[in-house]
Amino acid sequence: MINSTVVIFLGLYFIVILGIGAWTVRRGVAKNLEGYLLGGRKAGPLVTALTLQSTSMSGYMFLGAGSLGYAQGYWALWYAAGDIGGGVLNLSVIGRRMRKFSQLMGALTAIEYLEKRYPSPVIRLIAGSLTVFLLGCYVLAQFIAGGKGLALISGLPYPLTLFISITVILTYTYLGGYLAVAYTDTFQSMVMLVGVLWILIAVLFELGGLGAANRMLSELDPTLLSVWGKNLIYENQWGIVIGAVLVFSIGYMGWPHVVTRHMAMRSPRTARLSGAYATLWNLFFVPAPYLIGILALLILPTLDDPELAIFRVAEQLLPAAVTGIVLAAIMAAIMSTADSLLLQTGSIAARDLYQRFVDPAASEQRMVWIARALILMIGMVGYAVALIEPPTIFAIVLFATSVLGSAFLPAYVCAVWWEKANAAGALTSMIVGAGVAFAWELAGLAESTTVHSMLAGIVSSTTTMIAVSLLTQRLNPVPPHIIATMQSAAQHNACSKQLTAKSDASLAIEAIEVKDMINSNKDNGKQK
Amino acid sequence: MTQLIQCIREQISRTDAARIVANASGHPTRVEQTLYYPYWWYRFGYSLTTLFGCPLFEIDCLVDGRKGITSTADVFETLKARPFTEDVLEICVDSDSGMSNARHTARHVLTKKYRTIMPFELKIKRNQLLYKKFWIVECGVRGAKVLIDSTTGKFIALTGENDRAAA
Repeated sequence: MINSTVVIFLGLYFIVILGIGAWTVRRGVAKNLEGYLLGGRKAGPLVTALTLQSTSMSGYMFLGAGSLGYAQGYWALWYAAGDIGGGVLNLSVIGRRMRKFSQLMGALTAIEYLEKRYPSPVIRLIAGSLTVFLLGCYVLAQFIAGGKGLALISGLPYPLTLFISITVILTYTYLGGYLAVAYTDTFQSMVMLVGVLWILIAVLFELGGLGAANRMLSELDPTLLSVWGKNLIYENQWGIVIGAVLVFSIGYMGWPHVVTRHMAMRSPRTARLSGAYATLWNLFFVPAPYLIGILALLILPTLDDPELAIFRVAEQLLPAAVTGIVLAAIMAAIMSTADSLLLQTGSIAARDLYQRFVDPAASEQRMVWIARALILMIGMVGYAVALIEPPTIFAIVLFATSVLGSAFLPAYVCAVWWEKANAAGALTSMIVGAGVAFAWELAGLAESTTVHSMLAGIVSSTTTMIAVSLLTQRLNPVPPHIIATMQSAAQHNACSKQLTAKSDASLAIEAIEVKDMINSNKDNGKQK
Repeated sequence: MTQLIQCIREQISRTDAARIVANASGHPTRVEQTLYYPYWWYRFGYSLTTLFGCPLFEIDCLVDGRKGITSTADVFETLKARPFTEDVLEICVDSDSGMSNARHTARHVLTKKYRTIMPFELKIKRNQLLYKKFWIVECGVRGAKVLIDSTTGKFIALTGENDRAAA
């Protein structure tokens, strides 16, 4: 049955999102390719932090996280532990350097960045194809989550709700590009935070506080309170635990749609403040869906589909108007990830596959339109596939994120931290990492080996990167201009703000020439 | 190796330069390097028709020897110096294009100054390659570098915001 109050709130939410999209289109940043793909590199610290976090926290947080808490109790908080530190870790390890390096090398997508750092067209071809496939799976999971969520809220049939959610996401992503995605993500992250905290507070009120809820849980099944899972299923299986912590902490550093946020920052310095904002937001947001899932066991002990735990709890406890806001939050989580994934998949397909291998002479204007056309096409294909309803959202998300993280994490981290990391090392590490994680997931090796697919993937790809890079240093050396750019990207801002503020801009030309002279003297010195 | 060059006389000393940067940054400083930056110096003569006759005036222009950017200049003194060759920045702009830039700038400035429509007739009176001394001052524990002009005492940070702008 359609709940009109809930639908009105959701309608309002969609209007605000489209309004933000229209506003960014009017700002006109999306006229050239850098404007469309990276918002002209103008994102400030708050927008960077919130788009990074809301993109990382997909519909999984409201569907998968709740379901995990519902099924495994407090064990699920291992995932939350990794997730809380993920944002700040990501920004501190690669944020500032990647921002600087990507601009110095003129890279516009996360995959182009890899080719500029590890000069080989094969890297771009393999990384681009792998990313388009995996992000395609991931975006599909978000479409399904959006459709399912909206159907549940509104009572409308799934094909129609799927169509509505995809159309809204497509509209603003298609028109406004990165900046539309970043600004809508910022708004959506606020809605997500308010929504999830609202449900958590309502749940705690209902159960008489966390202490009382824990007592009830221990009466129901004491193992739910343990850190080893229901019935102590993961007892002393540290391989699984470490993998659970890693998947959403260091795993972020291997996700192309997340690391692109670093490239779009206003300046390298933005990373520091963004890290603080991201951590603050994570502290409040991340544990909440897992806790709601755990406590849902006490409110709705006989749920058919645990993925709907948070939806059902909200429906059960909250008045219709508040449910509208909360459900808008759920849609926000889904949409904020889906839009970023869609933009990334489209831009990687356009820039890294089409322009790089099919039509290198395509003009900027033409490339913007090709990126848009590909986004539209991916949206339509996604709609068709999502109608068939493939596996559960949790399974797709975990599969795509594990393979992405395993394949790309060493390549992105070593790109800015290890001067010896070469193209041969990066290429083999990507293939081995993706292959191991893929095989692990496909063969269900996590159960038999008690090692998480993500952990197996990262260990194998990192070892491969180190071994192959060291073995092939002579055959495949890192070009000197890349080492010089890495060193330049690593330099800290040595001048104090005070000194910089007192600088006289009339000397700018002389300063540039003198800097060039100093740098060329350094290069000559090195060559000697 | 050294070379003999004509320089604009400095108005602040090496010690003053270090002190200026130290005051601005609040950190201890040291002068790391002296640099000689090339300029083309052009002096043009022009006459101005007034109610009392046609007195002759002069205008000086300095053209950046690396980029060709031109500005008019106040009166300055010159002296000869013999710096190390590696401290002297190479000239990249030839005398003819420098003069053309200077003539254009001088005409523009004079037209603005006297609010005239007709362009001034300029006669070249001096055409000389000159160098201006700059110091690179290092300050603070992180070794930030600052470029300071020896004639005006104005400075600009070489690392930091400019890096960002350049990036």
